[in-house]
Amino acid sequence: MASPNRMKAVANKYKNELDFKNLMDTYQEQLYMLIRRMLVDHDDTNDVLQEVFIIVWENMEKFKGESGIYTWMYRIAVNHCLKFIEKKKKRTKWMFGDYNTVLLDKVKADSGFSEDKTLLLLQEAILKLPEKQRLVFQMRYYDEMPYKEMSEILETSEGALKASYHHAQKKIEEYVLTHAQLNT
Amino acid sequence: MENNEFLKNEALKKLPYKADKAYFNAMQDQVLHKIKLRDHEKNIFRNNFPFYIASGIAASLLFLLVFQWFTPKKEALPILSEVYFEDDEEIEYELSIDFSPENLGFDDAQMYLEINDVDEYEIYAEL
Repeated sequence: MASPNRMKAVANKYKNELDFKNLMDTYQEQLYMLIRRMLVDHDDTNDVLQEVFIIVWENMEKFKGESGIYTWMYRIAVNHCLKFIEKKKKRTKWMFGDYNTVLLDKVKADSGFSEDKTLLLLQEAILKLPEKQRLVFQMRYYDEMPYKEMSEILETSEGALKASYHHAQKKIEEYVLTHAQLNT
Repeated sequence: MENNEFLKNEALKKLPYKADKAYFNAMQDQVLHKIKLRDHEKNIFRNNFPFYIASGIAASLLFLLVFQWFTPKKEALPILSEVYFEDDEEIEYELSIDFSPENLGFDDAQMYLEINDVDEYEIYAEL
Protein backbone atom coordinates (compact mmCIF):
# COMPACT_ATOMS: atom_id res chain seq x y z
CA MET A 1 0.00 0.00 0.00
CA ALA A 2 1.31 3.47 -0.84
CA SER A 3 2.17 5.91 1.95
CA PRO A 4 -0.18 8.86 2.62
CA ASN A 5 2.44 11.25 1.23
CA ARG A 6 2.64 9.27 -1.99
CA MET A 7 -1.19 9.23 -2.28
CA LYS A 8 -1.28 12.98 -1.83
CA ALA A 9 1.48 13.45 -4.36
CA VAL A 10 -0.39 11.38 -6.95
CA ALA A 11 -3.64 13.25 -6.29
CA ASN A 12 -1.94 16.65 -6.42
CA LYS A 13 -0.13 15.76 -9.61
CA TYR A 14 -3.34 15.29 -11.54
CA LYS A 15 -5.25 18.12 -9.84
CA ASN A 16 -3.70 20.39 -12.40
CA GLU A 17 -5.46 20.96 -15.69
CA LEU A 18 -2.48 20.15 -17.90
CA ASP A 19 -1.64 16.96 -16.01
CA PHE A 20 -5.27 15.97 -16.01
CA LYS A 21 -5.30 16.37 -19.78
CA ASN A 22 -2.28 14.05 -19.94
CA LEU A 23 -4.12 11.58 -17.75
CA MET A 24 -7.10 11.68 -20.10
CA ASP A 25 -4.78 11.30 -23.10
CA THR A 26 -3.28 8.19 -21.58
CA TYR A 27 -6.46 6.34 -20.65
CA GLN A 28 -9.26 7.76 -22.78
CA GLU A 29 -9.08 5.12 -25.53
CA GLN A 30 -9.04 2.16 -23.15
CA LEU A 31 -11.91 3.58 -21.14
CA TYR A 32 -13.80 4.50 -24.28
CA MET A 33 -13.54 0.92 -25.56
CA LEU A 34 -14.58 -0.53 -22.21
CA ILE A 35 -17.68 1.66 -22.07
CA ARG A 36 -18.49 1.34 -25.77
CA ARG A 37 -18.41 -2.45 -25.60
CA MET A 38 -20.90 -2.31 -22.76
CA LEU A 39 -23.19 0.41 -24.10
CA VAL A 40 -22.72 -0.11 -27.87
CA ASP A 41 -24.02 3.39 -28.67
CA HIS A 42 -21.39 6.12 -29.26
CA ASP A 43 -23.45 8.98 -27.78
CA ASP A 44 -24.17 7.04 -24.59
CA THR A 45 -20.48 6.14 -24.39
CA ASN A 46 -19.52 9.78 -24.80
CA ASP A 47 -21.87 10.84 -21.95
CA VAL A 48 -20.59 8.15 -19.60
CA LEU A 49 -16.92 8.74 -20.47
CA GLN A 50 -17.23 12.46 -19.77
CA GLU A 51 -18.99 11.77 -16.49
CA VAL A 52 -16.25 9.28 -15.51
CA PHE A 53 -13.52 11.88 -16.08
CA ILE A 54 -15.47 14.48 -14.10
CA ILE A 55 -15.87 12.01 -11.21
CA VAL A 56 -12.14 11.26 -11.40
CA TRP A 57 -11.31 14.98 -11.21
CA GLU A 58 -13.70 15.62 -8.33
CA ASN A 59 -12.53 12.61 -6.32
CA MET A 60 -8.82 12.88 -6.93
CA GLU A 61 -8.22 13.63 -3.24
CA LYS A 62 -10.01 10.42 -2.31
CA PHE A 63 -7.68 8.32 -4.44
CA LYS A 64 -5.83 6.28 -1.85
CA GLY A 65 -3.13 4.87 -4.06
CA GLU A 66 -4.01 1.34 -2.94
CA SER A 67 -4.29 0.35 -6.57
CA GLY A 68 -2.92 1.84 -9.77
CA ILE A 69 -4.64 4.95 -11.06
CA TYR A 70 -5.86 3.03 -14.12
CA THR A 71 -7.44 0.34 -11.94
CA TRP A 72 -9.16 3.06 -9.91
CA MET A 73 -10.45 4.81 -13.04
CA TYR A 74 -11.50 1.50 -14.55
CA ARG A 75 -13.51 0.76 -11.39
CA ILE A 76 -15.25 4.13 -11.60
CA ALA A 77 -16.03 3.49 -15.29
CA VAL A 78 -17.40 0.00 -14.58
CA ASN A 79 -19.63 1.20 -11.74
CA HIS A 80 -20.87 4.15 -13.75
CA CYS A 81 -21.56 1.92 -16.75
CA LEU A 82 -23.63 -0.51 -14.67
CA LYS A 83 -25.59 2.37 -13.15
CA PHE A 84 -26.21 3.82 -16.61
CA ILE A 85 -27.47 0.45 -17.89
CA GLU A 86 -29.85 0.15 -14.92
CA LYS A 87 -31.26 3.60 -15.65
CA LYS A 88 -31.58 2.88 -19.37
CA LYS A 89 -33.33 -0.41 -18.69
CA LYS A 90 -35.98 1.35 -16.63
CA ARG A 91 -36.45 4.09 -19.23
CA THR A 92 -36.61 1.85 -22.29
CA LYS A 93 -38.84 -0.75 -20.63
CA TRP A 94 -42.07 1.15 -21.33
CA MET A 95 -41.21 2.57 -24.73
CA PHE A 96 -39.01 0.04 -26.51
CA GLY A 97 -39.17 -3.13 -24.41
CA ASP A 98 -36.03 -5.00 -23.43
CA TYR A 99 -32.85 -2.86 -23.35
CA ASN A 100 -30.66 -5.73 -24.61
CA THR A 101 -32.88 -6.02 -27.70
CA VAL A 102 -32.36 -2.30 -28.29
CA LEU A 103 -28.59 -2.82 -28.04
CA LEU A 104 -28.80 -5.79 -30.38
CA ASP A 105 -30.67 -3.69 -32.95
CA LYS A 106 -27.95 -1.06 -32.71
CA VAL A 107 -25.26 -3.65 -33.29
CA LYS A 108 -27.13 -5.00 -36.31
CA ALA A 109 -27.55 -1.50 -37.70
CA ASP A 110 -23.81 -0.80 -37.35
CA SER A 111 -22.21 -1.16 -40.77
CA GLY A 112 -18.98 -2.38 -39.18
CA PHE A 113 -20.75 -5.50 -37.98
CA SER A 114 -23.02 -6.16 -40.92
CA GLU A 115 -19.98 -6.82 -43.13
CA ASP A 116 -18.72 -9.62 -40.89
CA LYS A 117 -21.37 -12.21 -39.98
CA THR A 118 -19.15 -14.03 -37.45
CA LEU A 119 -18.37 -10.82 -35.62
CA LEU A 120 -22.07 -9.99 -35.52
CA LEU A 121 -22.91 -13.45 -34.20
CA LEU A 122 -20.36 -13.07 -31.41
CA GLN A 123 -21.78 -9.68 -30.44
CA GLU A 124 -25.29 -11.14 -30.39
CA ALA A 125 -24.09 -13.93 -28.11
CA ILE A 126 -22.31 -11.46 -25.80
CA LEU A 127 -25.41 -9.27 -25.54
CA LYS A 128 -27.42 -12.29 -24.39
CA LEU A 129 -25.27 -12.51 -21.25
CA PRO A 130 -26.27 -10.83 -17.98
CA GLU A 131 -24.47 -7.46 -17.52
CA LYS A 132 -21.94 -8.54 -14.92
CA GLN A 133 -21.06 -11.71 -16.76
CA ARG A 134 -20.77 -9.68 -19.95
CA LEU A 135 -18.41 -7.31 -18.19
CA VAL A 136 -16.24 -10.15 -16.91
CA PHE A 137 -16.13 -11.75 -20.33
CA GLN A 138 -15.23 -8.49 -22.07
CA MET A 139 -12.53 -7.56 -19.57
CA ARG A 140 -10.91 -10.96 -19.94
CA TYR A 141 -11.48 -11.59 -23.62
CA TYR A 142 -10.84 -8.18 -25.13
CA ASP A 143 -8.58 -6.50 -22.57
CA GLU A 144 -6.88 -9.77 -21.52
CA MET A 145 -6.90 -8.47 -17.99
CA PRO A 146 -5.39 -10.71 -15.31
CA TYR A 147 -7.92 -12.15 -12.85
CA LYS A 148 -6.09 -10.45 -9.97
CA GLU A 149 -6.69 -7.00 -11.46
CA MET A 150 -10.26 -7.89 -12.36
CA SER A 151 -10.78 -9.00 -8.79
CA GLU A 152 -9.61 -5.57 -7.51
CA ILE A 153 -11.86 -3.71 -9.92
CA LEU A 154 -15.00 -5.78 -9.48
CA GLU A 155 -14.35 -6.57 -5.80
CA THR A 156 -15.08 -10.25 -6.46
CA SER A 157 -12.90 -13.27 -5.72
CA GLU A 158 -10.67 -14.61 -8.47
CA GLY A 159 -12.37 -18.00 -8.26
CA ALA A 160 -15.80 -16.49 -8.85
CA LEU A 161 -14.47 -14.51 -11.81
CA LYS A 162 -12.89 -17.60 -13.36
CA ALA A 163 -16.18 -19.47 -12.99
CA SER A 164 -18.12 -16.54 -14.43
CA TYR A 165 -15.79 -16.29 -17.43
CA HIS A 166 -15.97 -20.03 -18.02
CA HIS A 167 -19.80 -19.97 -17.98
CA ALA A 168 -19.87 -16.96 -20.30
CA GLN A 169 -17.49 -18.66 -22.71
CA LYS A 170 -19.67 -21.79 -22.75
CA LYS A 171 -22.87 -19.84 -23.32
CA ILE A 172 -21.30 -17.87 -26.17
CA GLU A 173 -19.91 -20.95 -27.85
CA GLU A 174 -23.24 -22.74 -27.58
CA TYR A 175 -25.09 -19.75 -28.99
CA VAL A 176 -22.66 -19.33 -31.86
CA LEU A 177 -22.66 -23.04 -32.66
CA THR A 178 -26.47 -23.23 -32.73
CA HIS A 179 -26.96 -20.08 -34.77
CA ALA A 180 -24.11 -20.76 -37.17
CA GLN A 181 -25.70 -24.11 -37.98
CA LEU A 182 -29.09 -22.48 -38.45
CA ASN A 183 -27.66 -19.88 -40.81
CA THR A 184 -25.91 -22.46 -43.01
CA MET B 1 -17.23 -25.12 -36.27
CA GLU B 2 -15.23 -26.45 -33.31
CA ASN B 3 -16.35 -25.39 -29.87
CA ASN B 4 -13.08 -24.05 -28.49
CA GLU B 5 -11.67 -22.71 -31.71
CA PHE B 6 -14.26 -20.04 -32.27
CA LEU B 7 -13.15 -17.66 -29.52
CA LYS B 8 -9.48 -18.26 -30.31
CA ASN B 9 -9.92 -16.39 -33.55
CA GLU B 10 -7.98 -13.18 -32.86
CA ALA B 11 -9.77 -11.35 -35.67
CA LEU B 12 -12.93 -11.38 -33.55
CA LYS B 13 -11.26 -9.18 -30.97
CA LYS B 14 -11.08 -6.31 -33.42
CA LEU B 15 -14.28 -4.37 -33.00
CA PRO B 16 -15.33 -1.74 -35.51
CA TYR B 17 -15.65 0.91 -32.80
CA LYS B 18 -13.57 3.85 -33.75
CA ALA B 19 -13.02 7.16 -32.05
CA ASP B 20 -10.52 9.49 -33.64
CA LYS B 21 -8.22 12.13 -32.20
CA ALA B 22 -10.63 14.94 -33.07
CA TYR B 23 -13.39 13.26 -31.06
CA PHE B 24 -11.13 12.81 -28.03
CA ASN B 25 -9.95 16.42 -28.20
CA ALA B 26 -13.54 17.65 -28.31
CA MET B 27 -14.46 15.28 -25.46
CA GLN B 28 -11.59 16.58 -23.31
CA ASP B 29 -12.62 20.19 -23.96
CA GLN B 30 -16.17 19.36 -22.92
CA VAL B 31 -14.96 17.63 -19.75
CA LEU B 32 -12.80 20.59 -18.75
CA HIS B 33 -15.62 23.00 -19.56
CA LYS B 34 -18.08 21.01 -17.42
CA ILE B 35 -15.57 20.86 -14.55
CA LYS B 36 -15.14 24.65 -14.67
CA LEU B 37 -18.88 25.13 -14.85
CA ARG B 38 -19.48 22.89 -11.83
CA ASP B 39 -16.71 24.64 -9.87
CA HIS B 40 -18.27 27.98 -10.75
CA GLU B 41 -21.70 26.79 -9.60
CA LYS B 42 -20.23 25.49 -6.35
CA ASN B 43 -18.50 28.84 -5.74
CA ILE B 44 -21.71 30.74 -6.37
CA PHE B 45 -23.50 28.50 -3.87
CA ARG B 46 -20.72 28.92 -1.29
CA ASN B 47 -20.64 32.72 -1.69
CA ASN B 48 -24.39 33.06 -1.46
CA PHE B 49 -24.82 30.61 1.40
CA PRO B 50 -25.37 33.30 4.14
CA PHE B 51 -27.91 34.97 1.87
CA TYR B 52 -29.78 31.65 1.39
CA ILE B 53 -29.90 31.16 5.17
CA ALA B 54 -31.12 34.75 5.78
CA SER B 55 -33.76 34.36 3.05
CA GLY B 56 -34.91 31.10 4.61
CA ILE B 57 -35.31 32.68 8.03
CA ALA B 58 -37.10 35.74 6.57
CA ALA B 59 -39.47 33.53 4.57
CA SER B 60 -40.28 31.44 7.65
CA LEU B 61 -41.02 34.55 9.72
CA LEU B 62 -43.19 35.99 6.97
CA PHE B 63 -45.09 32.73 6.73
CA LEU B 64 -45.71 32.70 10.48
CA LEU B 65 -46.89 36.30 10.37
CA VAL B 66 -49.31 35.64 7.51
CA PHE B 67 -50.47 32.44 9.18
CA GLN B 68 -51.20 34.31 12.40
CA TRP B 69 -52.93 37.11 10.51
CA PHE B 70 -55.39 34.74 8.91
CA THR B 71 -55.99 32.54 11.94
CA PRO B 72 -59.51 33.42 13.35
CA LYS B 73 -59.30 34.90 16.81
CA LYS B 74 -61.62 33.91 19.66
CA GLU B 75 -64.13 36.63 20.18
CA ALA B 76 -65.12 37.77 23.64
CA LEU B 77 -68.24 35.97 24.72
CA PRO B 78 -71.25 37.83 26.05
CA ILE B 79 -71.73 37.50 29.77
CA LEU B 80 -75.25 36.41 30.53
CA SER B 81 -75.16 36.47 34.23
CA GLU B 82 -72.74 37.51 36.91
CA VAL B 83 -73.05 36.65 40.54
CA TYR B 84 -70.78 38.27 43.10
CA PHE B 85 -70.49 37.54 46.76
CA GLU B 86 -69.50 40.02 49.36
CA ASP B 87 -66.83 39.04 51.82
CA ASP B 88 -68.15 37.18 54.84
CA GLU B 89 -71.61 37.22 53.38
CA GLU B 90 -73.27 33.96 53.87
CA ILE B 91 -75.65 33.60 51.06
CA GLU B 92 -76.71 30.37 49.70
CA TYR B 93 -77.42 30.48 46.03
CA GLU B 94 -79.21 27.84 44.31
CA LEU B 95 -78.04 28.16 40.78
CA SER B 96 -80.78 26.90 38.64
CA ILE B 97 -80.44 27.78 35.01
CA ASP B 98 -81.89 25.89 32.19
CA PHE B 99 -78.96 25.63 29.79
CA SER B 100 -80.97 24.39 26.86
CA PRO B 101 -80.53 26.71 23.84
CA GLU B 102 -84.26 26.92 23.22
CA ASN B 103 -84.78 28.30 26.66
CA LEU B 104 -82.28 31.06 26.05
CA GLY B 105 -83.71 31.91 22.67
CA PHE B 106 -80.75 30.64 20.65
CA ASP B 107 -81.05 27.93 18.06
CA ASP B 108 -77.50 26.79 18.20
CA ALA B 109 -75.74 27.92 21.32
CA GLN B 110 -73.31 26.52 23.82
CA MET B 111 -73.25 27.52 27.42
CA TYR B 112 -70.24 27.71 29.70
CA LEU B 113 -70.08 28.07 33.41
CA GLU B 114 -66.71 29.49 34.27
CA ILE B 115 -65.55 29.66 37.84
CA ASN B 116 -62.88 32.33 37.88
CA ASP B 117 -62.56 32.67 41.57
CA VAL B 118 -64.03 31.03 44.64
CA ASP B 119 -66.80 33.55 44.74
CA GLU B 120 -67.26 34.58 41.15
CA TYR B 121 -69.26 32.79 38.58
CA GLU B 122 -69.70 33.83 35.03
CA ILE B 123 -71.97 32.27 32.56
CA TYR B 124 -71.05 32.59 28.89
CA ALA B 125 -72.94 31.84 25.80
CA GLU B 126 -71.28 31.07 22.49
CA LEU B 127 -73.39 31.50 19.41
